[in-house]
Amino acid sequence: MDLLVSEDDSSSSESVHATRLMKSVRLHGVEEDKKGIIHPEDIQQTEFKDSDSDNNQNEKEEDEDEEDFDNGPGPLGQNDTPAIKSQTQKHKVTTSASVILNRLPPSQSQVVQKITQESTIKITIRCQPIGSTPQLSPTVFKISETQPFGTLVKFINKKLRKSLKDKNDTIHCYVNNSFAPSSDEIIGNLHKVSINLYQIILRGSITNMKSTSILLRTMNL
Amino acid sequence: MSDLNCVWKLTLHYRNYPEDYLLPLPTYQTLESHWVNQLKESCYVQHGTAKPVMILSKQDSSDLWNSIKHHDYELFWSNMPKIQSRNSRRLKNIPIRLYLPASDKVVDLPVTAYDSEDTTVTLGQALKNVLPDLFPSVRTNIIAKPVLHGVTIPLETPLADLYYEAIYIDGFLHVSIVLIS
Repeated sequence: MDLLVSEDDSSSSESVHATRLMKSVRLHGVEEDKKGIIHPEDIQQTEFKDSDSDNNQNEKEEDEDEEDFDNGPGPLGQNDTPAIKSQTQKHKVTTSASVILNRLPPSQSQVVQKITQESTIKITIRCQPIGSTPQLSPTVFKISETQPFGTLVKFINKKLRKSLKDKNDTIHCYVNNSFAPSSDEIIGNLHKVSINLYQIILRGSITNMKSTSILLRTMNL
Repeated sequence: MSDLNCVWKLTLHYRNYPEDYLLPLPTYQTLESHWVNQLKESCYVQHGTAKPVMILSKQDSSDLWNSIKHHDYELFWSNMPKIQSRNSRRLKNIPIRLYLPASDKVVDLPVTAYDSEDTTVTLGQALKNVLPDLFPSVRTNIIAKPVLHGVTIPLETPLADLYYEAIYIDGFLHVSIVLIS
């Protein structure tokens, strides 16, 4: 933007000047909010603000020079235009800088912490024994999303140990009749992969979409 | 014996191995079963079923395992396409795992290769979707960068291409998220 305004231009320079004043007021508002300190040079701007708001109320038809005189205490008096120019420029830099400041990332550890936050969501698990595996009762239970799969396997093994014929048998768990996840896999992750897209419709009376079916199989080791 | 300058302090545990949470002491057999299950899982993510792995012939599956055992690149890639979908449009999801920095957490979200407007999804878009705090921009790495096979991957890379070029032996794309300090 061309910041030089010659006073010979009558109407166009007036309107440009008015908009610039508006801008400086707006920018000044940001500045004041941010710092909360008023510097000696800022006092002049405050008066600009007042005069401009008055200006808005009393219509904008006022003469540019009169407006400048309203800002009498300004150090430059009648040659006020250059002073306004420089202030406008200065504040422009400030606002653009403040935009960048707003985008500055929070500390990295915080970001990671936010992502890895513990959640309280529970996931419904439905177990289906196959082969000679004894029935688990109840077949449906809930487990926290953040638990590793190993916890579930441990829990099922504990429950079924008594009813196993051969104590050396171990229970193997398969998600959705296809794969056995590694025991450090997080149940929430498994759930997202298996449910979000494939929407298993479970057999039996439970048609809760938020459940993962797990097949149990005994294997002789 | 006692070196005061040592950096690491190691604790040796000789009992109570946490076998519920860690792989049992790896033998070839346990490694193989673990790998097969991971392969099935990645296959499940791609196709919605683990059938392509299940219907591999005995010869093919043992070839695949042998190729991994002997680091045989040619043999691996002569068998792997039998599991992968030839056409990227038929991929339901890209099997991708994101390893978060400074934590033990893994993000394992389903990511599609094409968005609703049928344009290819780039790595940057996927990362921005899943981890908007770490990847505020789709094009430039600001806070963190994705590293695959030790290489920083440009965010403009289409996921489908990445999937066909850079999967690991278990069929997943294991992407480490590295913070830019």
